[in-house]
Amino acid sequence: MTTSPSNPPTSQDLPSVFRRLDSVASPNDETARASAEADRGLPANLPDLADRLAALNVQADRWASPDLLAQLRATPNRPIDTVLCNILDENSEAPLEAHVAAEFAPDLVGGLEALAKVSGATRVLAALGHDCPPEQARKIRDAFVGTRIAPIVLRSDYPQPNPILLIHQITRRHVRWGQPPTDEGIILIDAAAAVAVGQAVNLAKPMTSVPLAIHDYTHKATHYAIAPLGMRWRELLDAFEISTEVAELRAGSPLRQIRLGIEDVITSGELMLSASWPEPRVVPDPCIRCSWCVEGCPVRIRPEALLDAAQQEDLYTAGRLGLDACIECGICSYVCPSHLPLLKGIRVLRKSQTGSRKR
Amino acid sequence: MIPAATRNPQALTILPHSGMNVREYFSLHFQGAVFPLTAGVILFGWRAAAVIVLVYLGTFAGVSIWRKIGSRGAQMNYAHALWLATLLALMLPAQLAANHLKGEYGGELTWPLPLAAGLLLAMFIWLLGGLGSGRIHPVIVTYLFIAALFWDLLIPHVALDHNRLLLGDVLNSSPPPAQLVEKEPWLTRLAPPGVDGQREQPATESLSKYTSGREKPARGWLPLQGLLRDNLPPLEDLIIGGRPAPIGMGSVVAVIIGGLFLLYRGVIDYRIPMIIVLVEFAALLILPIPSAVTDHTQWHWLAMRRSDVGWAAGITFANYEIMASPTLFMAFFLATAGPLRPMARRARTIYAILIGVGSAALQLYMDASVGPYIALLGVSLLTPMMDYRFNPRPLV
Repeated sequence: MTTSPSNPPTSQDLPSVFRRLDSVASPNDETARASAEADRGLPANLPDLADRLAALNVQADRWASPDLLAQLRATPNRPIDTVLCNILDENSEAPLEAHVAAEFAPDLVGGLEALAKVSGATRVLAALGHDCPPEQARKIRDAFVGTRIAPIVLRSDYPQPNPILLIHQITRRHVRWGQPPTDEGIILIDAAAAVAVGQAVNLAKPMTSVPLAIHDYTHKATHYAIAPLGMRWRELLDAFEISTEVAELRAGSPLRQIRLGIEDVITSGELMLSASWPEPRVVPDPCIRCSWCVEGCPVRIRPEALLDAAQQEDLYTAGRLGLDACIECGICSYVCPSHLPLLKGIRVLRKSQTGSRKR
Repeated sequence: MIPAATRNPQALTILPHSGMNVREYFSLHFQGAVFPLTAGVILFGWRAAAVIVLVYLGTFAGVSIWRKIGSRGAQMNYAHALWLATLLALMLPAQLAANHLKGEYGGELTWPLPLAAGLLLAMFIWLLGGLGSGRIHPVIVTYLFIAALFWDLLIPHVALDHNRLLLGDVLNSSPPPAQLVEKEPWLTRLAPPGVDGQREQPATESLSKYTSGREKPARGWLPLQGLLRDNLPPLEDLIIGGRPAPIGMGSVVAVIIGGLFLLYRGVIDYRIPMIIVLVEFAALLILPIPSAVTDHTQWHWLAMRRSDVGWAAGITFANYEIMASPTLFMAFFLATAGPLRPMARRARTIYAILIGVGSAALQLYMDASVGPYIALLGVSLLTPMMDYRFNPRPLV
């Protein structure tokens, strides 16, 4: 189904915005379901819950929702006191999280309650974007009535959905890139992950498909789908008649510059995609020190100096300039009038940092 | 968080870039400079427009040549060079576009000077690092170079009468009045018949002579209040326009509007001009100035606390120093230049404080017309050190 973002559905009973594509049943699905059925009742601790979710193929590892199983298996530095559900959308043109949370509200509530119960968290928060479509927002709020889930409305301007910024905004706790939020006593998952957890824990339903949104910039339309894991992106584009000849596929917000191969398969990674015309090739100019990258940076680092450090392979200076704090939102590259590959430079530094740590 | 000058990320179809490029970036700056530029052409007439054109021609020719020299030359950008040419033109007086300057100039041919200034600017852009890399402002270096060689030619003496704006000729002027400056406000004053403006001493000259002790008072004694009353034009003339000044500094209001436009478009940091002006104002009140010029002139710290000066005269004096000198122009258009100012906010604060103090001191004890430029030149040399020393504090 296709919707225009400016005209969200307004009926009382929202019709599903998701088009259900053919399911590709995993050969292990039935075994997984049987194993979960035999194991009804909530596990006693988070690692056990992680094992149960893994058995049902429930995973989530994306920019707005850090690795779910890693969070549950991590040994936290402090007791978990908060379960935080991220219902903010990276791209307001394609409010996938809002649609998922509204359409699968009971599963969402079930998932969050289960996580809170097993982890012993004293508060369960759900971060809603200020621009969440009103009908979806109403439905989500209604579902939270009578539960201990407290909705929090935030300005969802990009890159606010990033977990590091979200956690800082709500709890003032500092989580670094690559560090699980559980180290700061928080389990953070997005709406799609919470729904998958709810379905797995309460219905013993394995995760065989994921909700997806594609914003097609070439036709200015947004498509929503429930697509089976393992399906190729090309099939998805064909289903929505998006030409693979003219469109380039990017995962998450386009500013993050994560290109997807159309022959790659759908996983539990990024669920929001954008299809846009290929980026025109430009030859970068020298840095003119306009400082827009510094002023635009939500975590207040110096991307222009990091690019310099990347060119000189200077990890020491990069560390001093705040490499660890970067959330790879891509705003620096977006605003740079010289078209410098600032985000690319940071990723190169991160790669060499990981390499040097391994050595 | 995203600078206002870039486009809304959600409204784009060509992703993932705002579409802003270097040419557009400098054209945004140029739009800010249009206000003082237009005011200058209106206040100083067609010769101001001719100076601007000559500087552009010189710069364009210079860049065309220097672009062919080395890899640095290949990086030279016309938009950047023309923006710098605009700044340089705004710092020059309108009378330079002359075939034959009369009177005290001794009949010199001056129109090649703006042309040569443009050529020189292109050379300094190349020499000082090209696009973005240099930490020394090529415009200031070019201006000071010319000023060192042709100081007298750069002193403006005439502004057009309010009835002869735009089309008047600044060289068709009446002799100076007996009391150095005309005290009647420009808006109500009428030039004598047959001339387009009146020759008079610029306010920066009077201020510099007084504060540096070079003043030789006719009666052997000139108090600060006497300077303000007799030797300086009404303050409103400096604010609105109508007094001798370089092309871009004829109207303080136009400079401020241009600067506010740059702030509104997010291309400059508001802290830098704000701190420079506030610190300079405070420094002008604190630093030693003569309460009166005599044979044995004495300088006094916090002179406005003395009974023979008073708070009103002290504050008026500081206002004159800021309005008559190029402080506001420097603070909005030069000190905010990317290659000069540091990146971190704390470093920018220190940078602006140093410029404010330096500018006040150099204005008082050296010359009010170049003090702010020299202060900026000196402090900008510290920028690499400040960039190394101060880094933004990451959020996490």
